[in-house]
Amino acid sequence: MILESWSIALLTCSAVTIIFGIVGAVTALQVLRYWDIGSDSERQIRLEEQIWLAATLVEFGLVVQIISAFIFIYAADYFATVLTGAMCAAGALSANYYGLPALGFKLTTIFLGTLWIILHKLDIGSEYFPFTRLKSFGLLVLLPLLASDALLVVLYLVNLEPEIITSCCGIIFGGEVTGGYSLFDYSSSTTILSLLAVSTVLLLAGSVFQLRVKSVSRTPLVLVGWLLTAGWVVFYLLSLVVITVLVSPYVYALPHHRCPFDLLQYPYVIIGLPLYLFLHGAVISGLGAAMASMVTWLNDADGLVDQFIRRAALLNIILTLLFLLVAGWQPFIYIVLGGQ
Amino acid sequence: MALRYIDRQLNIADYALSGFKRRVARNVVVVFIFALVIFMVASFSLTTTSLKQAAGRLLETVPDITVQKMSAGRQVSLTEDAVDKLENIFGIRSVRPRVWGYYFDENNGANYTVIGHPKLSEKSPLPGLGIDYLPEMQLDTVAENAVIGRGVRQSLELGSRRTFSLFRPDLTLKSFITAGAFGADTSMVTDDLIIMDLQAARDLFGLAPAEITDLLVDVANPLEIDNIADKIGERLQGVRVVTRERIAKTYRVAFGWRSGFGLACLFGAMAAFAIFAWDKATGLTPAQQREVAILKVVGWQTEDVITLRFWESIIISASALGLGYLGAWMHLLFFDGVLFRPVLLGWSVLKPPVSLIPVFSIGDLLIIFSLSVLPYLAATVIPAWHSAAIRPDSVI
Repeated sequence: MILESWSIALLTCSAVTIIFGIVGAVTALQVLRYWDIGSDSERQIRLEEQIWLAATLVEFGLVVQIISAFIFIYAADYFATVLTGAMCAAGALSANYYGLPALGFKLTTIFLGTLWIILHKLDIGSEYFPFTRLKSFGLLVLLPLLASDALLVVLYLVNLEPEIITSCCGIIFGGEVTGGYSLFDYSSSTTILSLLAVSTVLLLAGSVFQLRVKSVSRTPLVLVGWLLTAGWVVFYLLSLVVITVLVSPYVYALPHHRCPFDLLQYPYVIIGLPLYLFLHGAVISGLGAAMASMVTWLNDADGLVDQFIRRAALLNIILTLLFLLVAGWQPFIYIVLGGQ
Repeated sequence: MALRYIDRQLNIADYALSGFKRRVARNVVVVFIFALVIFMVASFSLTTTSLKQAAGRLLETVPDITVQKMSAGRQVSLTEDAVDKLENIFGIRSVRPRVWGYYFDENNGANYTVIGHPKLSEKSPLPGLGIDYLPEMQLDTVAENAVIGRGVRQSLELGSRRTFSLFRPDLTLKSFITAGAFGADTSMVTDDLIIMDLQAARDLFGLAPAEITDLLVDVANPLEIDNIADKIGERLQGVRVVTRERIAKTYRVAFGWRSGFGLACLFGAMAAFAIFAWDKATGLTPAQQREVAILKVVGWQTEDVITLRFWESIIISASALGLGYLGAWMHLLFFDGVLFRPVLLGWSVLKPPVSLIPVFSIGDLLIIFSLSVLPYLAATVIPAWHSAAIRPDSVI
């Protein structure tokens, strides 16, 4: 179904990000080879200007990737109307092997792009440009990810035939007892909620620790940074599972409708949009603070990194609590008031 | 901090707007060409969405299940005794036989769709179309009655006459009298249509007395349609059972594919415009270079100038998007999407004069945005950096 308006829109977005990725990578290679902050040669001045080009490309590419992710989900929702068995985006995305990985790569590039921009802001905030080389490595990592994303999108669209018989969210995310495949093979809702609660408490404790960044020595801060990075990734994946199998049926008021994508459709978008915004905001600010903790050993002569860690840690505490509030709202209302 | 950021952005946007006014002639040309590109893309998207909606509305009247007999991969006639085999399936509300075929009029090269109705005089929805035509009917007891679409009436050049004749396969003439005509509101499906008695249709096509082309089945419970379709397939050998949902899906795929194909054809125009935008943004006039140099001298950073260029692009894109989208809306509303309708509907001597109603959808807007505004913004990013990287000492 590559000749669909949605597909062409997706391919246009991919083409734009790939072109930007290539130009960014070329800039990154030049920086890695010739960057010398102590020099005032013509080349060094040109490279300092090129940092802005790379930043502009990543910022614009990030916006395109975010739009592309929305288009991908809405396109999958449209494809569900022509695929046998699919009733929403979940069914359309699992119609072949490439749909869900493509979405995964899109989200990964969005996260990494945002982290890159955070690093860039920290870098240009200092007169020593301490993270320029690290940023350039980051650009070189982004390019293959963007290329993989584009390739997966193309493969998904090419292999999407209207005659494909697929399954939908009630089956894909349902428990095995009810005849589903149980893509998220969780043992019980208690286990998964306990895991989420434990990880939330640990992450919030980590964030509180980061708030005290000034009085902490560098080594434990770097160690905490690594731990928090892993923690936020786990938290993000756990949250997606919880949203899909535990929260969404309450939002839809349908026990067998377990779909993380329909939350972005009217009228559920009223809950879905803040839910996802708070989740992604919390994870990005958490990962940003963790990344800043890790790079602080490189250089923080201006105290900018410390300042950023404190702000990001505070922001992620607020956003995490807001996410938990929105996620728990519908189940809470149902349990307490016995319905909508 | 957030307020300071917003304030800074608004100030830069304000400056960009004043710059737009200073170079109004140059910018109007870009906006006009850009709006034209957006108009084409938006027309395609809006026409497709309207057609899908129109098809969806019409399909509500289509019978739940249509049964056709197949032989060697092609459709052949059924006999009326098939009705008896189906009527006792629990859950079926009604089974109606139909003769349905195409008549090629050699005089004007038009193809008419002929439907043989089992009870032409009965006041009931037309099988397969759900159109109640009886109020306008004047049944004649002497000649063979037929209800015709507006396109057929024009094509046969009937004028004020009511009678017309069609050729049987053996080239003898069969005469009809116009008992009624379909209105404009149903023209999407009735324009090329001739409805007649079942027996008259058999006679016109030279079919045997009990032969029919398909069966129309209505099911009481919509959730049971697929199950009953399976049962019909088991009872009648070698038949094709088509459900309404399947027809709807085929429409969606067909319109989606045609729309995508049309947009792919427009891709050349979009690419040409992106190159034009790139070229326009790259070729800075000496006055613009001086302006950037002065801005940098008074303290603007490279990032600020890039932001300024971004705001200029946003102003141009937003104006063009508004104009192009409005134009597409008017094109559809007042001119029935005349430019792109043949691509989406297909073409024939008798084209259905469907009246299209524009529908607003976020999905359409996302597609239009990503196919027109996004490439434009992308094409101006690198030139924006080039212009921002100008060193004051090299210009002033």
